[in-house]
Amino acid sequence: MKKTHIAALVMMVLASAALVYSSKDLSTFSTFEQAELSGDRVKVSGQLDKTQPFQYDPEVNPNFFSFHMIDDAGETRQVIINKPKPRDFERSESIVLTGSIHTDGHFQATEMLLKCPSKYKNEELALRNQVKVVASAE
Amino acid sequence: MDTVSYIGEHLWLGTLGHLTVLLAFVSALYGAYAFFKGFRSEDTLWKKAGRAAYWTHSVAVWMVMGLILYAMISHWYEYDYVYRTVSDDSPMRFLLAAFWADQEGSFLLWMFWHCVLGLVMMYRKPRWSMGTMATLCLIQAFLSSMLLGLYLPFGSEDFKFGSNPFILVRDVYQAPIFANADYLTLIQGRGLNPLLQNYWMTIHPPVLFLGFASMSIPFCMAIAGLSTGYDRAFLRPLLRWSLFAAFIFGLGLLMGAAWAYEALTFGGYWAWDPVENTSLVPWLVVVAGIHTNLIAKATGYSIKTTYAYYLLGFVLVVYSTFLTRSGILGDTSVHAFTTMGLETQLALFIAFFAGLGLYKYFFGGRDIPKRPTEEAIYSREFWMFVGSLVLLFSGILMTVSTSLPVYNKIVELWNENHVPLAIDDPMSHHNKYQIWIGIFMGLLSGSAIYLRYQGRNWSSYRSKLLTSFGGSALLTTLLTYGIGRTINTYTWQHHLFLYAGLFTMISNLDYLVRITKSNLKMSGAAFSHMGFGVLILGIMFSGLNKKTITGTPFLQGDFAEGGGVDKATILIEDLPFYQGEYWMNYVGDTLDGHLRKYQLEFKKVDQDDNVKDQFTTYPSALYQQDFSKIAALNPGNERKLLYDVFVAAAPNEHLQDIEVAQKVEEELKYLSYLMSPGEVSQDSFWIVEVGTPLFDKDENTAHASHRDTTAYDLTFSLPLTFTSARTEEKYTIHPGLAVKDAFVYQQPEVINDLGIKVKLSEEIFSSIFTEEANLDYEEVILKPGGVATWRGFQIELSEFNRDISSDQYTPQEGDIAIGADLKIINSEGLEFRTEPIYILRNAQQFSIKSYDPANGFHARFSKIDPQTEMMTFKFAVDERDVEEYEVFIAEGMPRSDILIVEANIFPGINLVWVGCLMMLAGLLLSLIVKRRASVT
Repeated sequence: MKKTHIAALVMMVLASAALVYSSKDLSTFSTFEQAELSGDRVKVSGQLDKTQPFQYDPEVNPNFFSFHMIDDAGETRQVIINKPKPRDFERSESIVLTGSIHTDGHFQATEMLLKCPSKYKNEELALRNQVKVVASAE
Repeated sequence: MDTVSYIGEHLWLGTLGHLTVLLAFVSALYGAYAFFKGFRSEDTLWKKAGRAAYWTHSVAVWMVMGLILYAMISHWYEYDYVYRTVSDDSPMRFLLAAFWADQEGSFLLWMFWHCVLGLVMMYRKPRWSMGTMATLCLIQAFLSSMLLGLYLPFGSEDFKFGSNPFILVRDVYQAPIFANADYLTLIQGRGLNPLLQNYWMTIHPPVLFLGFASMSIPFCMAIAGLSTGYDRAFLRPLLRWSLFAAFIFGLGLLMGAAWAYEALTFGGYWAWDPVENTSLVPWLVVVAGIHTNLIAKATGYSIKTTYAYYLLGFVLVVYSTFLTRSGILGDTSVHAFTTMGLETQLALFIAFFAGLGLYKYFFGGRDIPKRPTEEAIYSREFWMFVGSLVLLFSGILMTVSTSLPVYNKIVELWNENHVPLAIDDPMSHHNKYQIWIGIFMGLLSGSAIYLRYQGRNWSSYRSKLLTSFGGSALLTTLLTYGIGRTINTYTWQHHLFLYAGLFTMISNLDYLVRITKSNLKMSGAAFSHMGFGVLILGIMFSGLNKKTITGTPFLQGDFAEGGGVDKATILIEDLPFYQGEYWMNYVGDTLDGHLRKYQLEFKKVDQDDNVKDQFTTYPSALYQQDFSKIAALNPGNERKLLYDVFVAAAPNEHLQDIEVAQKVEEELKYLSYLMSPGEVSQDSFWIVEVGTPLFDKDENTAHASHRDTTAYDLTFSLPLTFTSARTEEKYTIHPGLAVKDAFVYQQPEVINDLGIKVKLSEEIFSSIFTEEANLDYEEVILKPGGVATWRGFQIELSEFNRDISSDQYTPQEGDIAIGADLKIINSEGLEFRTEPIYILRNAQQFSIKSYDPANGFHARFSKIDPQTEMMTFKFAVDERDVEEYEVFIAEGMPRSDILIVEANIFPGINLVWVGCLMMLAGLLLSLIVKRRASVT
């Protein structure tokens, strides 16, 4: 057997091993209930509970954002993330959180991904002479 | 709706465009056939036919592009592509960016470069070029088919074959507006996504797509090479084209990284985003191919492997296209294009060329000579080959991880209950594996460069090599130790990574200086490898030692439980705040067009207050077209030689989005206060002194909105001076009201420190300004210079003005127009002037009224008797019996003078750019040297 073939073979074995090993980096989507039972860091997807107010007051703490999410199993929980509130949060169609259940029962998220409705697709036709408004309190 | 005959459409362009797309498709297919025939028979007639077909094809592609651009420039919104990418106020400088922002345009850009490269390739030696062109024509046929827009009757639904860029907007959307024959006068384009209105969007895609296109040439050449008798001379042009591809493609990737870094959308230059990964992989593979190509050229080993790499490189480009454009990546990527509905067609595209490559690899090239002996362990080719395998290995790991959405999709075909898998944290996942690639690459490229092909004169060369090798290793150890003490290296893997980077840097530098000396021919490789080392160093500095200077320096909550570090902080306007060694001050903001720029001053001082570092940075917010919300927040950056400071800033919530502002307004609880000028009102938090009402419209007046004299017909504002009960600080504001064309506008004021919003009751208007119909005019007759007293006003007709300028009066031939300058002293002894105008036109008398808002005095100049010099005036005053003004005050108003700020320092970021540029420069150098070698 040629040395280059051996080198190639070693690489193949290493690659397969790395890929098998990396399967522990994979996770499936979980629910709040499963997260509470396992206590693990998980991904939970769901929707913003629009009936509950969310709490973000940058003047008090710009790194505290709290809201309620309904997970895919229908359970609602308070979610806290120590980051500024993302733009377009209210418009999100669904939310994917990474984090774990805190001892006091809320879900402490470290990462948050928002799926926003595609702004540039299913929009109504933009009309001429729209009324211009200025988002400013000045 | 079919019965409506629309007005103003330019349908000829679409018809012409669609036919041209068809022509491009057909001529590409014919070109493939002709070149294939020519390649087989070496018949010059077929060659000529092929060239003619390719010229036809190229002109057709350019014409399609030209037609779309023409429609875009003309704002012909009847075309969906124009509607999607352009709006009435789109700046022309983003025309090209808008053109390739969407799917069809970017396909055309890709095809455009294929045409250019093909036209160059076509006139090379026919023995190779015709085979190459045959495959290139096939690729172009596939790409053209993406624009065909034909619906073929297969299956239950018609199969969509291509997406026509000339489709009409009324064929895409179902909307009642299309019942109007003149719908075009009603609609306006949506315009380019504000995030893409950026100079990078103008330059990054053309370079990247030239990179994509140039990857096709080695593929096509490999197919040709495997289809005909072996010729060693073929390895030369193959290498040159591949060097060109690696250079341009690499440049495109680097530009993407620079854009990502500048916009800071991912907090850095590389985020292991699926689109980034699938673009990097073909580049790694073509670089691997260049290495084996060099081996093949020098020794005759690895010829078929070289072909394999080039075949794979292009197939991976198509795979990357498939991932980006099929919508399969869903939400795992920021780059996702809107879906085109061409998944099946794209999958066929990959399948066809992967199949062609596999077939040629296994059944072609049987006459490629095999060397009887194998590579010596101390030969350069052996370690270069291993290096190419490491590159491939890196690509495989990345591709497999990135293809998880594809895996999910395939499993779903069989098992509907499949729960999609996702990588928990892509950044750490990829970093964990790719760091080893970096280590191997560093060590290999640092040592293999010293070796010689086929281990020539190994016995005499060995000692010299060991000295160099040992020297580099020793120096690297010292440097790693030194740098490891100044920056954070975290783990032993990172130490090793740093070592590998420094090692390849030093040994390649050594090689460059001591061994190649003036020999340019070999310095390209050494230069690139050195660049790789510099890049590793840059990654260690900027990535691993990135520092957030805002936020709390300690951990909020338990880090292990996922609390994380607080990164953002609040800056209040004009209130310097100390964080992470810097005094930060939010100075103010300015609005220019749709862009609001925030001025932030940073100052670093030592213990004795000496300024160590000082700069001003301008993060900004880009509003949407209608100003209803902020479309994009751009960070400000301060670039220095040794580090960059990036500052992301956002205004308070209610200033970002008009919907939030409306919600805040709805939730405010206004209390009514009656205030009289000169009096004092009181609350538990403040005391307010009421000033004299202002009616002025001029550039000096206190309320900012009243400074533009043409903005409103009438204005009113009430100066209020608040004193904080807590701090005794005074704040003077001017809440106002204004009228324009019978609309009353509220002009509230906010005192951020008190958290209050103050506005005036609209009722005030009718109580101080009497409507014209309700005015009780009285006639007063005056002679020039005469004085009359009327209702406490002493009125003097001082002079006449014949040079009339009034926005209510347009002079006509034969007019007589006279203004009467009235000097009036009111009951309080204050003087004011007003000038009513008398006009005689065609023997009819008119008058233009004048009004003094502060005194509520209306004056008309109605008659002139030329004989007696008696002037008749009509005067009236507003019925003002206002003692008190109703003012509304709400507490709990969010501050509008704060910024939510996050500032990061990227140390040594310039090493990343320098490293990448050196790698590219090395490729370019090799390309130039190889070109020159081929010419001479």
